[in-house]
Amino acid sequence: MINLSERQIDYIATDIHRKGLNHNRISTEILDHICCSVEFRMEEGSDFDHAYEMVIRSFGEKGLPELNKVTRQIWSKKNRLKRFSFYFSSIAACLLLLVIVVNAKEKPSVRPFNTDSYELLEKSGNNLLFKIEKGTEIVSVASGIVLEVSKRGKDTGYEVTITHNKDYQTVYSFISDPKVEEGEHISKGQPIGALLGTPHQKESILHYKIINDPGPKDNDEK
Amino acid sequence: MHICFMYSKELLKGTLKTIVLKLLSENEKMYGYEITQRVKALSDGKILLTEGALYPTLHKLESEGLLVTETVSIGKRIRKYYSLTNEGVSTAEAKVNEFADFMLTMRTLLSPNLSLS
Repeated sequence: MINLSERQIDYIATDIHRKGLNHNRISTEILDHICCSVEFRMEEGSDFDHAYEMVIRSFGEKGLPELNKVTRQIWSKKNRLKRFSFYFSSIAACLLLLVIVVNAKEKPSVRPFNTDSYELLEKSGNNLLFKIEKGTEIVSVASGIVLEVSKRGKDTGYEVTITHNKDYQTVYSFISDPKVEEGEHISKGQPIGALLGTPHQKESILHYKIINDPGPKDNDEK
Repeated sequence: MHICFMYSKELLKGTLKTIVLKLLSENEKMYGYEITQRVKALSDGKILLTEGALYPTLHKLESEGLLVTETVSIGKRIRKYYSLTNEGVSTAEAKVNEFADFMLTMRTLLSPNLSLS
C-alpha cells in the first residue's frame, strides 16, 4: 500500500492552487481525491510524476478552475438565500413588533373620558360601570369607525358602538347629544357625546363595554 | 464535465444525484474518491464519475440540506466524509422509486412490440 510523502502532498497542494483551485470548500477535498488517485496509479506501477500527470490530465485543461468556479457559485447562491431569509425574518420580526406596539397603543387601556374624578363601580369581564359627573364629555378610546348610534329610550339616551380594526368594538351607553354619526371615522380621544344625567343627581353612570373578536354586524344586536 | 465512459453525459446527467443518494443510503458515510471507486466497481467500469461532475453534485446536495459532512485528518491530508441527513434519507428513497418507475416506463416505451403496433 502506497502512501504519498508529505513533500509529495505539498507539491500537489501547491500545484493545484497554482492551477486555479483555491476555494477552501473544495481545495482540501480535491487534494485528498488527487492523492488517492495518484496512489492508486502508483500501486499499479507508475512513478509519482507520471501518475500525477495522468490524474491532472483526467480533470481536463480547465477542469480545476471550472470546479473552483462552480463551487463558488453553489455556495454564494446559498449565501444569498441565507441573507435573503435573514432579511425576510428581520422584516417579519419588525412588522410583528409594530403590530404588537400598535395593538398595545390601540387597545383601550385608556378611559373613555378625560377626567380624574370618577369611581369604578363595577367591573365584570369587559363590562365597566363608571360613576362620573353628569354631562362629562365621553370620548372614543381608540381610532375607529362608528358602527352604530342607537336611541335606547328617553331615560337611557343613546348607545354608541365603535369598531376598531375589526379586532374589537367599544360600546358607550347612556350618552346624550351624540356628536358622531354611523359610518364616521373617528380618532382616539374624539368626543362622542355627553354623559346622560339623572335628575336631581350630580353624578351619573357610564356603561362602557369592550367586545373582543366581534362577529358579523348582525350578531351585535342585543 | 462528463460523467461517463460508456453512456452519453446527457443520459447520465439526471441520474447522478440518485446514484449518490442511493450509495449514501447504503453506507453510513463516504468520501468523494470512495464514491467514484464504488460506482466504477458496481457498474463494471461502465460508469466513471468525473471529479468535475461528482463534487458539484455533492456540494449542491449539501447546500440543499440533504447531506452533512465531517472531516477527518489523515496526516497532512483532510478527508471529507458525506452522510445523509433525515431529509436526505427520504429524498434518496423518493429518487430511487421515481427512477425505478421511470425505467419501467422506458422499457415499455422502447420495447419492439410497441413500435410494431
